[in-house]
Amino acid sequence: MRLILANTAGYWALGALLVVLAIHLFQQQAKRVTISTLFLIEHNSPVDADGRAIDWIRASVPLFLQLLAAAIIAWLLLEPRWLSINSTQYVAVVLDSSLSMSAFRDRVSELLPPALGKFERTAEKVEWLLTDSNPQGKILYQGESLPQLLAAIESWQPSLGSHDIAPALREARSATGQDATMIFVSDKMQKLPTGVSLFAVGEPLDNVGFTGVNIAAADGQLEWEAMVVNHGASLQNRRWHLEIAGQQTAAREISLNAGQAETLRGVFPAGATEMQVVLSGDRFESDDRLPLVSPQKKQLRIRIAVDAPMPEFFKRFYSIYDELQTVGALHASDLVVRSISGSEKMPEENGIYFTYRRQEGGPRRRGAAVGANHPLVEGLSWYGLTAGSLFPLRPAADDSTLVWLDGEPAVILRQSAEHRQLLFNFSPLESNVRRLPAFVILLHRFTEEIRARKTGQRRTNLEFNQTVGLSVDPEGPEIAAIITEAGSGKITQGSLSARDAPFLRAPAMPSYLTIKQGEELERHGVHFADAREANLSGAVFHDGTADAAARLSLENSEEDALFPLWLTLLAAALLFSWHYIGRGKMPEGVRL
Amino acid sequence: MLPPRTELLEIEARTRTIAGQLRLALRDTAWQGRSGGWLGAGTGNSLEFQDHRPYFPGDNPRYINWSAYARTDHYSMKLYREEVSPKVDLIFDSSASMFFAPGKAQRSWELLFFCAQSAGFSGCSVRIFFPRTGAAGAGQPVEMGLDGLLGGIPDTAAANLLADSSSGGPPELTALRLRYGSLRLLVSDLLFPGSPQPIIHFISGGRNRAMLLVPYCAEECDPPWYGNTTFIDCESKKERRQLVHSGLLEQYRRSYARHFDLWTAACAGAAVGFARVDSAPALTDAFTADALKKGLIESCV
Repeated sequence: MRLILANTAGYWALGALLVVLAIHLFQQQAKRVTISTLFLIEHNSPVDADGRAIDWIRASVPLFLQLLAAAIIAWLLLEPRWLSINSTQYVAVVLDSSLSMSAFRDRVSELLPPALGKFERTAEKVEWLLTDSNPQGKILYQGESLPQLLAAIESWQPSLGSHDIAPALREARSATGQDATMIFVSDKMQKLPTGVSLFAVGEPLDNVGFTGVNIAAADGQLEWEAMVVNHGASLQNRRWHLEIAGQQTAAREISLNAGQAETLRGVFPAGATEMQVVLSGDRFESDDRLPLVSPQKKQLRIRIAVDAPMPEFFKRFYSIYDELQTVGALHASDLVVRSISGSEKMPEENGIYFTYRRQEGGPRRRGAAVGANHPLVEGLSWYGLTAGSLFPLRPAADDSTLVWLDGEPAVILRQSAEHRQLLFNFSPLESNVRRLPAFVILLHRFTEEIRARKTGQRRTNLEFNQTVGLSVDPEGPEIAAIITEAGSGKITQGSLSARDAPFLRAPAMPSYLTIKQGEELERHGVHFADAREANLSGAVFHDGTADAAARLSLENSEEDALFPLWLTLLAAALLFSWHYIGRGKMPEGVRL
Repeated sequence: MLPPRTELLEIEARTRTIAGQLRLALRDTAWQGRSGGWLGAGTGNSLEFQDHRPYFPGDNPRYINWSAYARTDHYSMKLYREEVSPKVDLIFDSSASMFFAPGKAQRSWELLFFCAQSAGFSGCSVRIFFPRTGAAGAGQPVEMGLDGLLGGIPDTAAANLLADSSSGGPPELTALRLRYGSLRLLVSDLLFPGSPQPIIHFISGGRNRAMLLVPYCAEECDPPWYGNTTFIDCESKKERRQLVHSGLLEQYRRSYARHFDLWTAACAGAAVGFARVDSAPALTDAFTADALKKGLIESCV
C-alpha cells in the first residue's frame, strides 16, 4: 500500500466520532412549552420515558452527516500522502563496535526495531545496509528486508576498544550514495559527520570492573595484582572470589565510592598455572572476570662463543633473563654471540656478531652517530659513540643499517627467512659502545625478537584484541586456535594458516586462547583492560532519527489529489446537517 | 383569561371603528324575527311588495288590491314583506387555547367585540354565549346581550369565565339557548379533537345560518420546537415529554393542515361560512386575507 499518513496525531480527531455519538446519545434537558395543539402530537410519535438521561441513539440524517463530517476532518488531519511510484530510499545502519555496547545489547533489540520501522514507509522501496564500525568488519546485511536486517543485528557482537568510526562511516556512505540516510547506533553522544543521524541506546550505568592486572615473581612466589575501579557515580558494593582448577574460594566484600580504585592481591597457588579472579556481575560483563595464566616465556638458548668479545659482560647481561639457558658449543642454540673477521662467510644462525679488533690504540671514529628509522633502534640515542676506524663489513643489498657512525655503517641487521643477525662493524674493545645505554637496549630488543620468532611453549596474559605475536613452524602440522570462554566454559575452535598466524589477535571476551600445532604451543589468558569502554556513566538515550523518517516520507511522496473533494464533502455534510437540524418549511400545497 | 377592563375598553373602541368600515355580511339571508328594519322572509307591513292572494273574510281591508278588483270583480290581497329584526347568536369559545398566546388572545377578544358591535350596528338582536368546555356539571354557560358585553362583563359572568374548567374537548353547545332562525356565529380556534360534523350540524341545522370565524397564530401552525421538549396542554394541563425532530415537525404541520381541511370541507358541505383570522396582522388586514374574500365580512361602503 502506497498510502502514508504524515500526521499520526490526527488519529485523536477520531475522538470526535465518540463526541458526536455522545451528543446524540444523551438527551438534552427537556424544555417546557405550553401549547394548544397537544392532540395533534399525541398520535404522531412515541413518548419518551420519563427520568432517563440516556436514550438509544436514533438513526437520523444529522447524526450520519455529523459522523461523516468528523470522519472527514480526522482524515484531513491525518494528512494522507501517496508514495511516489518507483521511489527508492537507501538507509545505512552502522553499529558501534565498542565493547561498551555489550552492556546495551538488550536495548538495541528493544529500541532499534521501532526506530528503523519508521523508515519502512518512506519510499516505495527501501534498501537497507547494515555494517559495524570495525575497520576490518564486513557488511552484515544488504537488502530490502527489515526483518532480516534485525535478525543480523541479533547475531552481532561488539568487540573493539575505543576506535575511530570515521572509516566505517565513509565506507557505508560510499556503498549507499550521497542521498542515503545514515544512522549510527551507539550508546553515547558522538560527534558525527553531517548527514549521519545518531541513535544512542545507552543509559547511565554504575559499572565496577577490573581495569588491569600485573603478575610478578617475588620471594619465589608468583604474585598477582588486579585493580578494580568504580566507574559509576555512587557507592557500589561487590563481592569477589577466585576460581582455581574448578574450585571456588569464599567470596569477599568490596565497597568502592564513585571513581574509587582498589587493588586486589593474591598469590598463584603452588602448581597452578591458571586461575580466575571473579567480580559479582553487572550489566557490563566484560570487566567482571580475569582469566589469568602464570606467565612463561619461550625457552631461549644462548651460546657465547670462545671468541666473543666481552664474554663476562654477556654472561652477566643474560643472567638476568627469564627462561634463558646458556649452552655450550656442542648444543644447539637459538642465539650465538661471537666475533667475525668480516671477510669470512657468515654462519647460518641467529647471532650477535662483532668484528675483530684491528688496531690496538689506533684512531677512532668520533663523528656523528645516527640511528636509523627501525624498531630495533627506535628512540635510542647513539650520541658519543666512538669506534675503531676500520669498518670491514659492507652491507649486502638486503641488509638494514641500524646505526651510522661518521657516515659509515656501524651496526647492520642482516635477516633472512631462517635467521637474523645483528652485526657490529667494530669491536667493542675499540669502542665505548658498552657504556651506551642504547647498546644494552639494542641487545635486549634483538634477543627478545629472537625469542618471539622462535617456536616454543609460552603463556602470557593478553588484553582483548591484542596481537598474540604467534610464531609457528610454516612446514609443521595444521595450526588450531581454541577459545575457551571464562565462566561458561564454552569452547570455540578454528584453524589458521601459517601466513595468518602473525596477525592473530586475542578474542574480545574473557577467555583462554590455546594455540596448537600438533602439540600445545601457547596458552593465553585474555582479559579486558580498556577503562574508557568500562565507564558507562556517560551513556545516554538519544533518537536523532525522529524527524528523518517524516522528512523522507514527505520527500518521496505526493499530496492526496482528492483533497478538494474531501473539503467539498465536508462542507456539504456540515451544511446539510445544519439544514436538517434547523427549522424546516411548510409542505407545499398545505392550506392554513 | 379575562383581560383588564382598560384593555377591554381599548378593544371595544378599536373594533367599533373597524365595525364602521367592515361588517358582517348579513344581507343575503332571508331573515325571520321580531319587528325591525330588515325585510324578513314572511309577510309584514313593509313597503316592499311580496305576493298576491285571495281575500278571506277577516283580512285587513287596507291590503285589498283594488286595482285587481276593478278588473276582475274579485277581491284579492297584496302581501308585503315583513320588517324584522335579525337575530345573531354569537357563540364565543372561551377555552384556554383561545388565549394561550398574547396575540391570539387579543385577536379572539377583537373578534368577539367586532362581531357583536357589527351585528348591533346592523340592527340585529345580538345574544352572546360563552359555552363551557368542561366535564359535565362543570358549570353553566354564560349568556349576555350586547349591552352586557359593552357595559362590562358582569362579575358573575367574569367569574365563570375565569373558572378553569377546560378539558381540551369541544365546546358544549347543546346547553346553549340558541334562537331559532338566528345567525349562529361561532368564534373558536377549533383546536379540539373530534369530527366537525356534530358542531356544524348543530349550529346550521333547520333554517339557521352559521358562520365560523377561526383565530390562529404562528406558534400553532409553524412552531419553533426542537429537541427534548415537555409539552403542556394549555387547557387540560396534561404533560407530554417529546423528542422533537424535523420529521416530527413535518408530521405535525401536516396534521395541523389536515385538521383544518376537514373543517373547511365540513363547512362547505353544510353551506357554513368559514374563515381563518390570523392573529399577527391588524384585524382589517386579517379580514382582508380570508374572511373578506369568502364573503363573511363585507365593506360598509
